[in-house]
Amino acid sequence: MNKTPLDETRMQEILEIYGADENRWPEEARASMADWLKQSESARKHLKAASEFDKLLDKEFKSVIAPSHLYGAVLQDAENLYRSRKWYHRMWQNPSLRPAGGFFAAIIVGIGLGWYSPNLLISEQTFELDEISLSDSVLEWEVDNENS
Amino acid sequence: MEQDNPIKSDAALMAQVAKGDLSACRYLSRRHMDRSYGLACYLLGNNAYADDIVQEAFLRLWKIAPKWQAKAQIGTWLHRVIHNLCIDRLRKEKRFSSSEAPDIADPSLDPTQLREQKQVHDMISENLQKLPPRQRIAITLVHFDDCTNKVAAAQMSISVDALESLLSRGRRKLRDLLAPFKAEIDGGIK
Repeated sequence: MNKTPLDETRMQEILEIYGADENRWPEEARASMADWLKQSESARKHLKAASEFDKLLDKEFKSVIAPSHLYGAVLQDAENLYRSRKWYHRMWQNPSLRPAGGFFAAIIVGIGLGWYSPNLLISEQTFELDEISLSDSVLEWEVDNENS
Repeated sequence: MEQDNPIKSDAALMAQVAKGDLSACRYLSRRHMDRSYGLACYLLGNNAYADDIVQEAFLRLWKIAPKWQAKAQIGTWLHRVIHNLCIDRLRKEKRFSSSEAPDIADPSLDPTQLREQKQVHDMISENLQKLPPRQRIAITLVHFDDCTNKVAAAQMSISVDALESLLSRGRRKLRDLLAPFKAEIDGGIK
């Protein structure tokens, strides 16, 4: 680790900002801070003050316990997720159910196509236009037939 | 194994989760729930919201299990997700008024000590929530989540200098807010 020399003001600042725990100090400042603390009495006073405040924060932060209902909810989510996945995988991996799946899919596609196909293959407008042109020719054909 | 390489052992656990092994889910919940919940509580300052955030984060964890790669520790991943979800929530809500305190439990203390400890905890928690959200987030990331200055700055999308300014102002303000209760706090902490 490189030893970057820091002035005393910056080192006090580091204690103010990050507290007394050296693991929280910027990595590049740790060596200088250690030297400063070894040499200076006032540095140790600053460290003590920072440490007292840290103790307060640490106590506060470490006392949190998640409510039991949250554990229940989280585990229920996992169970629901994997139960639905298991159902899907069982269906997909079972050799006898796979062809049945394909068969049912074909039936559904067939019904869908049958239901919508008149509109898909011949649009209504095209059909009406065809009818008009067709009726003219049929009329002519009928008139022709009657005359003959 | 866990001590040798936590990333690999976490990946092995996630492989178990991906197979639908609920005991692996239970183990992961036990191991990460309290810290995750604490992080969400302090970032949001609201227990009910923290419940939602933690539940959502764990659901994402279960969902990502089949695609999990041995690149990060589960704890780091969870905290990152919780942090992002909290920031989204803070942005949506703009501010929080509730300063509900998270639960405390220490079976080694008698009821009187527990009550005193609860009072101190409430006092600190209440004052922590009085800090502006960014100062609270900075303090939570560095002191609670043990993030290094660079990681915390990256998570907040700010420079290290800006993070230091938030930490410095936050700690100073909190110290000022707690100064009138110093005697009670010292008594409660011992």
